[in-house]
Amino acid sequence: MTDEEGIVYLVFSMMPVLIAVVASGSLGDVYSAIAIIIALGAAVLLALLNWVDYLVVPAFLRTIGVRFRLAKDYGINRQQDAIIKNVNGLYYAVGFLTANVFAYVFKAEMIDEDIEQKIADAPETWERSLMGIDFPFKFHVLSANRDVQKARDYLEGRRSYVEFQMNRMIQDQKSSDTELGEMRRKLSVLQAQMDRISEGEKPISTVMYIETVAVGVTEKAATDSLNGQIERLQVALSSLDLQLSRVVGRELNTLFEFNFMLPDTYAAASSQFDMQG
Amino acid sequence: METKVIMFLGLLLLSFISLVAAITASSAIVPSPIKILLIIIAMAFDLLAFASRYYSQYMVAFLKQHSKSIVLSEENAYKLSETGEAVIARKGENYVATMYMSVPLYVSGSEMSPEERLDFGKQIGRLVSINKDPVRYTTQMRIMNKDFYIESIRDMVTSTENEVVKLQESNGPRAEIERLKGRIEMWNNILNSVGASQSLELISYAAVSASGGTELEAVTTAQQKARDLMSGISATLGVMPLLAVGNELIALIEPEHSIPFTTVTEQITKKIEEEVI
Repeated sequence: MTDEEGIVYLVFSMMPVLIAVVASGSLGDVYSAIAIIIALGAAVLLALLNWVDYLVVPAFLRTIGVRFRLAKDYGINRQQDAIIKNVNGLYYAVGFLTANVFAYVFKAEMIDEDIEQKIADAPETWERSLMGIDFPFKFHVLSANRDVQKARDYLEGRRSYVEFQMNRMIQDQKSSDTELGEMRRKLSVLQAQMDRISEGEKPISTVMYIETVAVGVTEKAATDSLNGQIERLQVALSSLDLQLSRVVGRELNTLFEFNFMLPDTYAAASSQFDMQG
Repeated sequence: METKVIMFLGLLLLSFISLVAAITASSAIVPSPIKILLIIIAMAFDLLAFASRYYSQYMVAFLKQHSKSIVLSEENAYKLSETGEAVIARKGENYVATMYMSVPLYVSGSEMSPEERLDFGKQIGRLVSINKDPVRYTTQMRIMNKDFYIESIRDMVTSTENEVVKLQESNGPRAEIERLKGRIEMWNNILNSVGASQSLELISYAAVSASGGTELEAVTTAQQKARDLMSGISATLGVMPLLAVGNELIALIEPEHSIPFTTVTEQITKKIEEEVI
């Protein structure tokens, strides 16, 4: 999801592309076509940077072999997937995984699901998952309360848009039952969220992630061990319906900084995670 | 104005200048291939401008250092406050103070009735929404540091052995000598079993940050936020959170504290032995 700041950046960055396309006619037939291809290529790269910069930029940095030193003793490795700390000749590699509970969120908002059973089972499922883990890790939940009125306005806006889309689908009579069912599901999810706010529940946003650390006598030994730990975590915690994907690139630095510098407002927290969170 | 905004506007301006030069220059002065080159440069500046939203600090460092190993900072990532109850980091012109508080939870889902599990799940749900500002809750599994325990057992073995020698030299009662020998054997057995495997411990804690123009202002605001959070946690879970101070606080942040040094050396020796065998 692109936030307001992202939209401003995208709109301004698209201007030179549009100008290049419009003004390319003055260059002559062949050169005009080349200019259009260049401009369209730039537009595609802008789109990639906007939606999947966390994949594009680390891949580029890996290719050219760049590594970053973040602070004294701390750095990001060449693979852009671990924070490395050197302590008296020993290397500690720290890796992160996202841990989004999509399944719980959606099921919680579907009225026909037995959410209470899910909540009751959660502590035991969590403990069972931990039994197979014999290395250090941290499970972080960063939560921030959202403004009730803003959250309500946002949900109402989304509901109106979904209702408009659904009405158009019904009028066109071209949509399948599956598509209509999907729209109805979206509508019931939004309605359930609004009902929960009306009942007095505070709207919150959360960022969940897992941090694990491995040690080795060389950087490679530490990162190899870390990779193994991350794979084991993905297997062990899969029973919790979590979306576990490895954090790479700039968000690695953000999560590293969270250990000593959390965002102190909701706006600051939400602006960090429109991509990978 | 923020550095990233200045950088964005500057790169965008360079993109427009290149583009205007390509479009407006007469073909007699600037041939078409040069114009295409100017368009490529304009698009490159445009892409860099867009990327500066997230990568401005990396780009500045890269331009300054022209190296594949980019140093963003050589300073310590954070420092401990004078009182030892907060870590302080610089963020631009501001200071950010972060405080950690341990949440002593000694409950297990497997020992709860279904109703208690449901209540506990709901308590956790309430916990993540008690604070207005962003709060990070963490459950950490770490390897227990048994160095001190092992050392104290060794001390006891040594002192008991000394007692045995003294009794033997002074022809002390045989029964007493046998009793002390039995004690030595017991401590040795404990020592062997303690050292044979690593023990893990699960701890929970919360962290909150506050920023300010001075260190004192940041710490004072963080203290206020921490007090509010601690009373919220206490009211929700019925346990009294404790503020982490000094080394205890550092242990929650630094990766090497998740794996104690003796465990590291044991792991490395074991790995080498496995590789040799």
